[in-house]
Amino acid sequence: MTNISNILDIGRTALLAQQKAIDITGRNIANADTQGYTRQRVTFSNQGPTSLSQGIVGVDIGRVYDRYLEAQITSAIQATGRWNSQQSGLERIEILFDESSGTGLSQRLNAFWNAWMDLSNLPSGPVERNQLLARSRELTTLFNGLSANLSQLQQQANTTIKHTIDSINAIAGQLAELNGRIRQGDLAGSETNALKDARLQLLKELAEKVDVTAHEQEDGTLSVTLASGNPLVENTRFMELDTAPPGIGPFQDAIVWVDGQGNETVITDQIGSGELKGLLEVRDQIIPDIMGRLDSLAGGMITEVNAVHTNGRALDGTQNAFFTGSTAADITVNTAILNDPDKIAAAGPSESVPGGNGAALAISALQSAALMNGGTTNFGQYYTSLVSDIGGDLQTANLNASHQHDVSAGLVAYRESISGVSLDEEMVRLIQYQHAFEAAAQLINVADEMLETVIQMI
Amino acid sequence: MRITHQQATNSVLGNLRQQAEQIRNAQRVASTGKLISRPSDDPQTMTAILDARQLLSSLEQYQRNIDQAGLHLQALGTTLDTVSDFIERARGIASGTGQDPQLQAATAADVALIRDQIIQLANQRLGDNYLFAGHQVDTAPFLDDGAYIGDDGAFRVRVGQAVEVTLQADGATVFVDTEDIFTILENLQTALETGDLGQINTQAASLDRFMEHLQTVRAEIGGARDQMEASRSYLSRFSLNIEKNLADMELADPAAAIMELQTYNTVYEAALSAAANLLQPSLLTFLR
Repeated sequence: MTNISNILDIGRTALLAQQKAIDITGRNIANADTQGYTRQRVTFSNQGPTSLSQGIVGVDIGRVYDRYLEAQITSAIQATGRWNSQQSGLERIEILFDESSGTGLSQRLNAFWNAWMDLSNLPSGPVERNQLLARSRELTTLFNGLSANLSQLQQQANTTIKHTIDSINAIAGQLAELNGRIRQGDLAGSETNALKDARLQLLKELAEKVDVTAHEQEDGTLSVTLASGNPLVENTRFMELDTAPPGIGPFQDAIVWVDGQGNETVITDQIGSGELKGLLEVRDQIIPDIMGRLDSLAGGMITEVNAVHTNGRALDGTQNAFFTGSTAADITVNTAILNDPDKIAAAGPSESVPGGNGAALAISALQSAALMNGGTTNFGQYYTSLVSDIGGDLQTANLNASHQHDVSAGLVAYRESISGVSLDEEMVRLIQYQHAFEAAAQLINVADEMLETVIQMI
Repeated sequence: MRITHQQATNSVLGNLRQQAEQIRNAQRVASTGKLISRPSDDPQTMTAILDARQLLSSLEQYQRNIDQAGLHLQALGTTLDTVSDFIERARGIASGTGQDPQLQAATAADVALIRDQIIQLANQRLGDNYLFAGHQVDTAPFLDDGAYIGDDGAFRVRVGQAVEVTLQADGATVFVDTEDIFTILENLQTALETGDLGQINTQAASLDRFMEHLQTVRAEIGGARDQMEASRSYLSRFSLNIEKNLADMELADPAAAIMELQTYNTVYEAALSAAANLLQPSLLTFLR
């Protein structure tokens, strides 16, 4: 049994429903360029089969997204973050080992050995002696500079790690707050789609920094867990990360997870991806490795050159060490020799000065002697292989970064194809809803006329 | 697949970025003329380049060593040639005018002069250094009485990674054989002054023996010179090869580099115009 006022009711709910649909379409269009926006879709339903409310339209607003795809994007973003930060760290290291301009360590080494050979040609020559000192100072200065610059880069990485941890904590706080608002909104029945989008976007920002896993709970809140298994966000609470000096090296702060009671757990080794991992790799593996090899090179040269030089004879008959120090950071030419070039020993132990050149010859012969890597490479090759390894590491990081970028880009494109806003589609929807709206208005018009007809019958 | 607004924009941006990066690389190659400017461009080749540069630098140093040693050899050669000439003259006196009792006394002064000249030659210097002083290069090795105060040090020059040439510098070896040249000449002078013909002939025979010895020393120096010349020509050929090798690894072919840059530019322009076409159409354009 139907009556005319029922038709009016149907018309009214239809009008409201189409209006809502147009509102959502408008929202989609407005957010066509919003990062991380998930398009919303209106689902109409014929509500309730009761005779009175037949035809009344129910409206449900849903977010169109693929939960599994979002998880995949999150893990791709983590890897991108890791390789990007490793890449930028290595790029800065590579600049230090620039050999293209002819001022690199390789050239300085050559110049150093050649200066010894020049001295062997004229062992008493003051010019040769001063030239040798100049070349040696250039070499030691470069060693010291490289070492200092590497330490500086290590310190920068350490500072960046602290900043990254600060932003991780900030994001965790925001996630916990959003969790609270979403749960409240869900309970109150108000719309939380925009909040959920914001939360997803924040999760991606977090994933770029550190590897986390996230689960949406039944009450609508999102739990975020670190790779170590320690929770970062739970319900509306969040735990913090912090740094703590472990006492190894000057810049090797450990990363700790702080529970609600303020107890600290070291999780440095459990961090497996994200910017934080890349930074840790730069700080704890890449730079210490390069520094170690640079130190071996400087140390090897100090030992070998001194072994010959201390036994050789200087012009004034004294016997001195040529280099002092033991690492790349502190290698210097013996101050006594710097002050008096005559203290350079060109003559061998059994030769007389000033004509003997045995020591100078023996030192210049160290250039091609296989003294590094357990007697398999000479100093020059040892350095060359260091440069090549840095180049190789950067090449790998570049490849991985660009591969991960492509993977993320592909996944994001896929996500966009599901959740993104297509303006064409929205335009079609707009027309569709507009026509339905006009038709509903027409329905009310007809019902009105029908009522008037009935009234006039009286 | 749904193609959305952002997707289209992203893919246009991504492609443009990639093209721009390729152009940047091609530009770097074309403008620096170098294929490799950073280790990460090609770590293996960078290693080879650095090794080659290291080798080249050593080869150049060896050549410089040879140049310096060449001077030394030249000085040794001319000095000993002159010494040899003087001894020939003394020998000539002993078998010529020295045989004539009338002239013996007059020629004794010539022999004394020759002896002085040879002492001066034995104290010959190259730059600040005495040639025949062993390692005591800062002191004149021969005293006026012909006594040697230098040592037996030899001058060694490296002309290759494991090749050393030893140059004679020991005055005792050069000027003293079974008898030293100064004593022979002094004895000859005395014999001439006293007119002792037997003694004159004995000293003449000693001069002959000493000449033989000097020939051996000069031959050794000649041998060292040959060895150096051989090394020099080997080194220059070797460094030419290394230089060529280095250029192959390091330098870009200008024509190819510019062609590549041009190609990437064209591709970039194509991408730009494709982007312009791709981003324009929308249903909105047709809904009126």
